[in-house]
Amino acid sequence: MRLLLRFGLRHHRRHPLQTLLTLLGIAAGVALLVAMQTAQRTAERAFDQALATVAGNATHTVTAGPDGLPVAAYAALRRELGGRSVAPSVRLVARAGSGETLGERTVLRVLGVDPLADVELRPWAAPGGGVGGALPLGELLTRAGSFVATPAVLARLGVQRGGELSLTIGGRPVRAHCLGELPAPPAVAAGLDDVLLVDVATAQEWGGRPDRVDRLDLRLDLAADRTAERERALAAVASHCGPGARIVATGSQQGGLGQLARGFRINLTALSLLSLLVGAFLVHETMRLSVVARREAFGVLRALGVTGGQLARAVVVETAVLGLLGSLLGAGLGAFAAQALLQPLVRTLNDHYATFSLQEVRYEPLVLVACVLVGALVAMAAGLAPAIAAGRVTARDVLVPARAASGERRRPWARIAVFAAFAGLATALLTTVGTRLVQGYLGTLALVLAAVVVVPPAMGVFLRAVGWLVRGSGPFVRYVVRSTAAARPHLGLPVAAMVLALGTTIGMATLVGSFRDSVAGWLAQVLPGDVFVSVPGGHDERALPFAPAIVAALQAVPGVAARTEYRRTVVSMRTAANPNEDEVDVVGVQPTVRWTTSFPLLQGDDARGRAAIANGDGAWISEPLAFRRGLRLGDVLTIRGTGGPVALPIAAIYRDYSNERGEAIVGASWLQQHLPVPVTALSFEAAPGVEVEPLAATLRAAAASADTQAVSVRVQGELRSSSLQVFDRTFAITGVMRLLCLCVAFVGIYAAFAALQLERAGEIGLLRCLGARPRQIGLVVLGQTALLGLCAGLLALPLGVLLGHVLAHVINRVSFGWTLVTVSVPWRALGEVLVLAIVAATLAGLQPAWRFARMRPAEGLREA
Amino acid sequence: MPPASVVSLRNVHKSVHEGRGSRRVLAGVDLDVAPGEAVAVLGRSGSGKSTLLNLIAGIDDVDEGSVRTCEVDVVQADERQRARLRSERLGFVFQAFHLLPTLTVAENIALPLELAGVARSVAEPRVRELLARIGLADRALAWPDVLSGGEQQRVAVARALATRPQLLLCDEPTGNLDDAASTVVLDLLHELRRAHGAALVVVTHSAATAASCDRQLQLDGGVLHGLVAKGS
Repeated sequence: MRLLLRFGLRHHRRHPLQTLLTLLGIAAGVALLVAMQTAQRTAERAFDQALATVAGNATHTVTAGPDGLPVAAYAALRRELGGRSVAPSVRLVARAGSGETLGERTVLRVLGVDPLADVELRPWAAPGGGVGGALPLGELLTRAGSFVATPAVLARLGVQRGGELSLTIGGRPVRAHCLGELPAPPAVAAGLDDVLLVDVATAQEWGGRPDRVDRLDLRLDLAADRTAERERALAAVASHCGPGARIVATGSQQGGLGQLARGFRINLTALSLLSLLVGAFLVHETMRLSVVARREAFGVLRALGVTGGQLARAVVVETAVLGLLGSLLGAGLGAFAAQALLQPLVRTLNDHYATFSLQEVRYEPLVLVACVLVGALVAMAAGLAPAIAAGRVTARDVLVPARAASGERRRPWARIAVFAAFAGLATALLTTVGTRLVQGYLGTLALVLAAVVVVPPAMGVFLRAVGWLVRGSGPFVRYVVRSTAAARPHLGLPVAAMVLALGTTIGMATLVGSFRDSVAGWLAQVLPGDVFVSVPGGHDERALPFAPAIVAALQAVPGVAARTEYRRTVVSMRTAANPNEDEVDVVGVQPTVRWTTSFPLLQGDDARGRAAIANGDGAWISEPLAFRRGLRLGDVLTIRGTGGPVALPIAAIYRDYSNERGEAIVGASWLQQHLPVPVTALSFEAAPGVEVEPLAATLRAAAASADTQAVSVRVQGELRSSSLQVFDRTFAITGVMRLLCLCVAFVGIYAAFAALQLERAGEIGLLRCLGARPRQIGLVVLGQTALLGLCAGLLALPLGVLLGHVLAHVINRVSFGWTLVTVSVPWRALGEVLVLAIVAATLAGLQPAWRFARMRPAEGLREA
Repeated sequence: MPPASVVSLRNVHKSVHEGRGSRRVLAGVDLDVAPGEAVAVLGRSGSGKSTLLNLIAGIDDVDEGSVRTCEVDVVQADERQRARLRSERLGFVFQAFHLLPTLTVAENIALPLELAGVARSVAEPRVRELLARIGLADRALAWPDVLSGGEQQRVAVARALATRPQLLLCDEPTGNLDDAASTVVLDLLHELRRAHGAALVVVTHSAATAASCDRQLQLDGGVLHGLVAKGS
């Protein structure tokens, strides 16, 4: 076995280009997997760690609507339960720095706590609870606007003890004074990587709510024999905090970022696995060619007494070695790439899921090892078929020329059966997907495998058609076409890999293009006003209210025909199907006629449904909310108001691309009655004859003169373009992946063709003997690769369109809960992909063409 | 004044690489072949016979010496000029036939004509003529792999003579054939080359093939020795 292995590994060493390309194929796939998994897990763990750190040792959390809890409730509970069992907190999002746009400034989280109450709940925030120093308690409690932060945060902000920091909180400028470092243990400091710790009074002032806190954290004894005591404590909480308060055990809260962004995460993982799949094609092809090249040697080995099993095992080990080396290389590359991917990923997460910041990747050895193992196992699986083929070589094969024996026997019925099986499986999985995203991807994989099976015979049909087209040409052109067809057994899989990569590109273009068109059309319907005013910020800042003075000033601006008020908040909601309370975004709307008639309703689009918001006798829920919770028209939402739970029937379901978790719209009057929420956004319809830009300028000036709070005033077109910018940014990551898939497929074509040309050196030498010039030899090779590229491009078109529809109607729907207004064929993308295929394949043939044009005829003849 | 030689080699030296070292196979070879003359080159396996043919055709390079083929200084010629020499003035017949498997019989014969830039209106009648001469007119559209060895070699001979070359180079043309087929191929080879006035240099182990030529040479120790000239 040792000599067998040496024989095998030397073969790969003697074909360094092929071997390198195999390694790069696996490396590219593993690199993408490592980069995506590392970046995602860094973001998720950092976010979850931050949540856990801030929650500290709390056993329960008390929240109550957008206005939070009164300080008086905290004071009463503190007297009743004891100062160490309950602690308040106020949480704000702040931005620091001098960037022109919000996105350019550093995102920070402000945590306001009562250090004296946090001794047991958050010891690191309490006096004497730190390491290496004491919390400057006196100054923190007495000096308004002062903060502490971990050394890492201070270094990043470039501020030291005694320094000042300019922040923007809720649109308002704030000056913060640095008291120095937060002396937290390293494990805790990691969860406070973007936190400014302030006294709760400072946070209340910065948040504009001096007598409210966001939540109360409780530490209750969970011992089994303390149940009665615990129940009494919870009853006291309910009594003091009112029926609008919600008490949740810490462990039962909604999952962290991984749960929030589950669809996003699965989609990115699927795309990175796709590139690994394409790399696996490469490994399969290279190993298959190496087995074909060594067929005669294998026959000799069999004649010497080596068994078929030993040969097969040797090939498996070779593949494992190559796979492991490629995976290790990929892990290294991926570790570098993770850092580059981190900020775009965090930005997308900030746009859609949660506002936080993150600076550096955290590498997890287990993740790296797992990705390396996945890469090696995928490579081994890809090499299995060639290993089996090697094991089947007999001593008799020594007498049979390798080329003649390597032609695959045609088994059309077997291929049809396999295609039918995969196509049937794909149909079954995709038509019964429900809400199971993994099933959707498995169905897509079955679809892809069905396409791969059909590529070789489709190539045959294409090449026969081309052969018919050139039947009137001279023998040289016919030779180019027919020799390409003769090489089909060698080239079927690399072309299939290229078809897969190109088809994925078309599919993604179909999805992204259709999605973009749907979003653009939807924006015009859902924001019918001419000017839209809100407080700028990311996902966690969407419910920031206006200062009352600004609302009054904006409402007084002349030249306005109608005005829509929005009051956004997060409420606790349950339904009959889901009796556990969950947090849901709710927007109270005081609509205009135009808003009511133009809003895009999918169900309940009748007079009663449309009037429900204005009348306050029904709710509209977004399509994702309906999909995720299995809700229908007529189902009842139970929302926790200040006075307790309130029921509201669902009157309509509307299209919404802004929030994949789903949200509900209710009448503003109804909302104010049950859960007072300040105005968070306004849209204005210009009066006839009033120009929109001057109106926007007037609104801007009115807001600026009324309060220091910064507001965002955008006209319709500007709002649409900034929304689409967010969209484009979100899908930028998929663009990188598409490019990498194409590169891997290109490498596959190049490797397969380079290997094939090596086998055909004899034929090339013969052509040289017959008088073919170097240029003509080059044209043979380039002609063949261009033909393959054209074939791959044409075969990719129907696959890509089909994949696009699957992505749009199934994957997109199950991931995010929404349907697209239109799914259209991206004709321009089809044309681009076809050209790209021909160019890429021709480029893949450049080096072999150059090599063979320069080859001495005698070298080729020796191979003949 | 004697006519210019079709092949003229002077003091040709050539070594071939074997593993880490090299072995000299031609050590000062001189050779002249007159127009229309048939010369057989005999020698042991590995004596350099095929190498000699490759040097004459310009598909390999000499280490030392001069090679003139069909009035072209092969040593000084660049690759384009050598390719042109091979396509317009030389014909090759190999022991293993080496027909292109993805071209029909007729197309294999037509290929050198196309490579030489001959118009189709001229090439097609030429191909038909050659097919008739080799007795395979009814197999024009057949693929090479359905032909017998003798038939394949006949096609190879026709291909080699398609462009009416001045010189025919044959490397063991009957090496893979039985006696009967060898006789047919040999007769055809001489008939066609005489009809075209082509000279012939044939490398062979076959006594019959050697005897059919005007002159026999032995390649031994890297040098050519004269054996028998017909008529002597």
